[in-house]
Amino acid sequence: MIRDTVRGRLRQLRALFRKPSVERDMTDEFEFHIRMQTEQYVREGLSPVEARRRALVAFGGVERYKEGVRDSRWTRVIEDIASDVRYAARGLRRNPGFTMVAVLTIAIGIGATTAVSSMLNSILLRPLPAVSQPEELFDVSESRSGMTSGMLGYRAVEWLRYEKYAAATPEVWSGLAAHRYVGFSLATESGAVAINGSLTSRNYFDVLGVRPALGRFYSEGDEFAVVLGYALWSSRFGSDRGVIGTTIRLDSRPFTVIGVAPPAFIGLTVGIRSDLWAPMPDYWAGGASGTPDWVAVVGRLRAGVELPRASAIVQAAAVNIQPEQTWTTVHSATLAPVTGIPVVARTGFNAFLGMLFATAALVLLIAAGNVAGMLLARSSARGREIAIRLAIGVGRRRLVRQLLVESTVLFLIGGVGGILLAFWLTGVLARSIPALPATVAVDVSPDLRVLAAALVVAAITGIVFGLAPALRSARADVMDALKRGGVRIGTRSRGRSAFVAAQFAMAVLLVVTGGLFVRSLRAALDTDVGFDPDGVVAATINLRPHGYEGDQIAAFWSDLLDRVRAVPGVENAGLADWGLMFGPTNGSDVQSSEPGWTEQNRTNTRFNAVDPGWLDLMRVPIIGGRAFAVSDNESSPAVILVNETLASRLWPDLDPIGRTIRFNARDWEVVGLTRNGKYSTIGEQPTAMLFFPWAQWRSSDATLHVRSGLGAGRLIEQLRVELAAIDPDIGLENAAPVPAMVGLSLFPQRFAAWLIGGFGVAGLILAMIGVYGVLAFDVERNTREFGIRGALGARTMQLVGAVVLHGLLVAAAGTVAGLLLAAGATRFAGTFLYGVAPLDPLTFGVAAALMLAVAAMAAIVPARRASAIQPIEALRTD
Amino acid sequence: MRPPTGQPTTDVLRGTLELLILRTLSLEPMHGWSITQRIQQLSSDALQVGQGSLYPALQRLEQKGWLDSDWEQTDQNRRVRVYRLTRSGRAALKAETASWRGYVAAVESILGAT
Repeated sequence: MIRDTVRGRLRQLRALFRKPSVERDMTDEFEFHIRMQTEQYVREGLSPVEARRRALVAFGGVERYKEGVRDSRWTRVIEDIASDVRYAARGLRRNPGFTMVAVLTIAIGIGATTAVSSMLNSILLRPLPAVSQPEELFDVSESRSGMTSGMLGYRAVEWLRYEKYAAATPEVWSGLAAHRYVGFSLATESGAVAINGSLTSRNYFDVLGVRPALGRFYSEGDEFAVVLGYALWSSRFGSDRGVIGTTIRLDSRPFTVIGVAPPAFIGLTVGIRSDLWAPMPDYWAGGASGTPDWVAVVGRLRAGVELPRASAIVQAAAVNIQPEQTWTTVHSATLAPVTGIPVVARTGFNAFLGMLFATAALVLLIAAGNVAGMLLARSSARGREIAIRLAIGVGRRRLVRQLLVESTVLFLIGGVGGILLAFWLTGVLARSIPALPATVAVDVSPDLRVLAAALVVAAITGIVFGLAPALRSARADVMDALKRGGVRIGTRSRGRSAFVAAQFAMAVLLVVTGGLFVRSLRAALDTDVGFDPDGVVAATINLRPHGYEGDQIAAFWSDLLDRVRAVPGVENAGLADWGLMFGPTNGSDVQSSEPGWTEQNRTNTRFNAVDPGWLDLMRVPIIGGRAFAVSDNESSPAVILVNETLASRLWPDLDPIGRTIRFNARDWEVVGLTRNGKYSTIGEQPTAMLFFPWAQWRSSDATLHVRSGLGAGRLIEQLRVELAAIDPDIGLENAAPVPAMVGLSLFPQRFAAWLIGGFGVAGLILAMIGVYGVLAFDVERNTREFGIRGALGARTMQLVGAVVLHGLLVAAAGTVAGLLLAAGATRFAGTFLYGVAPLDPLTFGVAAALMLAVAAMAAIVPARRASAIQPIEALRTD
Repeated sequence: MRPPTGQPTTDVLRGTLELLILRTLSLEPMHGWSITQRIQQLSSDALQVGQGSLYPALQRLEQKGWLDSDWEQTDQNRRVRVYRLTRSGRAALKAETASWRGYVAAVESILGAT
């Protein structure tokens, strides 16, 4: 039964797609009917001609019946809209100039919002696509005194502490896992290759609920097993399915490949890709002890456990478990949802994306406003056509629908253009991410969801912004219009002027924000970083997993430095525990251990350990005391260097040289003072820094810095050769030119400046089009007035002046409103600005001047048109 | 317009046309013109179906799935659209007939009650 109905309706779909044949059938059917009737009349004795006539009369108006049949089809509405769309397309084709400008305008608006929303989508909405039920996952985030978080923004805990957590809180978690990023050296036939990967607890994949693309994941009981990332599997293993079960050498030890992760799983941080996962206990087995193994802790809540209860239990456990690092005290442990953005970065990140979205939405708003203005002007220009259509009986409702369809079609075409623009824009953004030591893989290209949303937004904007012009057109008085040769639509431009002023205000906001970010980038570029990065290459080497012990470690480093310094073209080489601009370094509380100094002189500082040549190599200025010397070794007194910030915090207004601090249960004497510098990012606040001598620190991993006249690429190649000559199993990790790292740390500023600055430029152009539109419309409509004034002897300059003045008044009103708006809004951007105040007078002033200049420019063409109107032409328009 | 036979006729009431079409087609499949003829004939020329309402009605019935139509060739080799009742059409005829009878009886009882 239902099938009959469905079939009946489907049959009529033919009316949509095979209209000619459906129409022919209808004609045939009626013709047949009339013929039968004719034959009937002939049988009744009429002449064939008379019979045909009567049959036709009896049948009545064929066309009317046809319309009746058409109306009774359910597809009628679609047919009507299709014909409206065709009509709209014809109209748009007739006016290619208008169509192009409108489509481009919309494309800019939709492109900006789509690009930004696709970033939001990939970063905030689907950050961990391969993880099952990510909403059940929580980071355990500790806050401790005396500790500053490192590790890509995770609040890390020691491995042993993680195990104690797992043992202390079983009622909370269905599984508690640990993970950390780490560089591996993968042995290949052509030497060791550095791979960025993760060390994890054995239950990591079980807890996350990821499904392998190939093979299986490790779990309890698997020893020396590794899982390959999909990207690594396809690039280095040629997507060979036979790789499962084979053995690879990782940091001098054999591991069995047991599985391949799905392409969507790259780890737990958006954009930072792990290419390999190995169980932490196996990897560390037999490794050096003493230094803690920092891990991030993530758990899946047990079903039925409420978050507040879970938090309370974890908090209680946190306070009860003694930290491995005796100098720190755990204050609290909180549970934070796993979102792919490290906890410490989350608030700022969301605010930044929110700001991006708001600016993009402003661009769309201005663009849509422009197009609405253009549509209004256009329907005014089409006054006669509209009047005629109204006169021949096209219903006003139908007319409004037609105009709405037209604006919607326009916005949809613009929407498609915008989507193309968004693909291009996200492509550029993705490429603009500089080469990182970590593998960055962030897919910000729009997915289907974003594209659908873009089209829906385009259609809705089309309807909303098309409605006012359409309603106004349809309100026109037909008689009046035909008498005067056209509908007078929008007889007053005051409303439109206010509208353009509002657009201007929004554009000012965009220009000011964009300007602030450009200035912020400028300030960051001009920053004195406190060292000289040019010509220096840095790379990390980690001996720890390779079984080096005691004196072997020191011997390895000195052997390496000797070899590197001997390479032709190399100026100097040095070691540091942390590379400059390699991300946040570890920090700790320190205090002065002078007699009489108290707890109040505690302060938090970052620290690094450097070999005697390093400060000289990096050209870090020593402004007091001395640099490290080779004689500062294990048996000599413990010495340190401090920077100006640390010195002034510990001993304000006093000479720091010769004073001592307490750190790690030892007293250290300050022997030198360095100038302040930038250590982790360009954008950081003045940071306290403390340098330990390398020989008194003894680390099994180091960042090698080499200054040379060789290109970075050649130098890195050469460093690999030298390293392989000492130990072929050790890979060079994170090798990168230091200037690139500085550039990388500028990436947020650069990104914001380009994108928001770009939005500002778009706003400027759109505002210009808006002013031009309203003035051109005005001149067009007042042709007669201008003509008469010209005829009465008004000088050209007066006419030009009137138009320009109108434009400037509108622009000035908008600019003033925009500046006030900006003054209120930019403080939200304050946290992202570097070296420039949110109310920077220069930026505000330049923006205002720029906007007025643009308005004057936009006014010139209509003004010239007004002055060129011939009186005779003006009188003829009526 | 009156047919040449000159007999007075009544236009089919709105709403009953569909019922009449269903009833007519329940006898055999036929084309539009014969439906009008058959209705006229069965009502002894008392009812006249206007073409203007017939074809839209056929369209509606087909949309409801009560009718099905096919193009056939006549003996004189003309293309003709033949309508036939579907299974749901038959069921609908039954239901509509019952409801019509109920309606007529109700009206009748009012008209009869003086």
